[in-house]
Amino acid sequence: MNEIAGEILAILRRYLSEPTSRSLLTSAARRANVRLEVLTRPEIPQLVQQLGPGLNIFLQEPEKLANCKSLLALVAVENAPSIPMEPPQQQAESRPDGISVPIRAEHDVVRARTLGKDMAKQLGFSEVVQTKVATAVSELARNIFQYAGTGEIRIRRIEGKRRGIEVVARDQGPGISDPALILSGAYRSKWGMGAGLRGTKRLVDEFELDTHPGLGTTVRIRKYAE
Amino acid sequence: MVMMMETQRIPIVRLSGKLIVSIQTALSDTVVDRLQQDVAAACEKGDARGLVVDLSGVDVLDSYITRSIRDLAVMARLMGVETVVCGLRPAVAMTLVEMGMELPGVRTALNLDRALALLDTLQPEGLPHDLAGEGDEWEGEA
Repeated sequence: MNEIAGEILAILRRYLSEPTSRSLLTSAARRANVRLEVLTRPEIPQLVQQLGPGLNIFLQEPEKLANCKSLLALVAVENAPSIPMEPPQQQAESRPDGISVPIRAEHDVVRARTLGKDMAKQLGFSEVVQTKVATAVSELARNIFQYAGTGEIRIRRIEGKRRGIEVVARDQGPGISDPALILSGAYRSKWGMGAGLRGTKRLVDEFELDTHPGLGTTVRIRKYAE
Repeated sequence: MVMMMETQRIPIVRLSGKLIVSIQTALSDTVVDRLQQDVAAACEKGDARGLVVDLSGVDVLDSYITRSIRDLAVMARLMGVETVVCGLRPAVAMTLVEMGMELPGVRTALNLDRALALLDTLQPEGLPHDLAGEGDEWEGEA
């Protein structure tokens, strides 16, 4: 099994036992007519497609299933953005540059948080950085759900000299009338939005807040690997 | 896709007069709110001498959930049930500190063993609590 196949196995191992992961992977490789010893990225989509039925059987929880498939889709596009992807079936939409999670219900907050952590782990971030990213995503997703009702969280990797993760939280909610006041700590909302946004700012390396009363809020954060 | 899911419930275990809540799942706000109610109901029965909240299975604690856990502990103490929160993972603890969010007014212990031992050393009732009054300043800075 080469490095690329190893990456896929590592993702499966997050959700399934070692023997199950290995047997799913080898049988999918057989069906996809690819060899795990010399797997290349262009072959990943067909392999992932063959993994689908097995995952559907072994991963009973819809959330885990969707997360696992999102991560698998990401492996395929790494360094090869031109590969045509199968349109994703799951709620979290995989784009060439990352994952989009619609926030519509409270459950989506947990989902966004889990995906943020999985992606940070996937990128090789330390446990502490993974936790910080997941916590920041959770705060942003909760703010969307609590104040705007619906919105979207997009998580993508940053390539280049400084590897990292970028999270963009966007909603068309009521906006924040005095962001400076909220970030200063003088304001405390009943639900703790002030604490959430201030905490998020402290956890990340870059923090941008763009808000327009009546139109919505966009928060963009970046966290680097080191 | 419509999914009908019953709200997940975190079990409260009774062990030699103590209540043990071990959280081993990703916490949603609803699950935490439900837990608060369940703990309050368990405390109300009056036979518990202490409560341990084990967070070793929790990999992310954001501000709302942290606050809910802290409220839960303070609430139990107000009902006369000493509470110890234990098992915070190092990465989670570091994240909370960085966010400026600690657990004021809440006793903590490294693990379940020590939490149970700590409860045994606490007077079950009668003595004034040395932590009383510390819970006012949640956000710390301001």
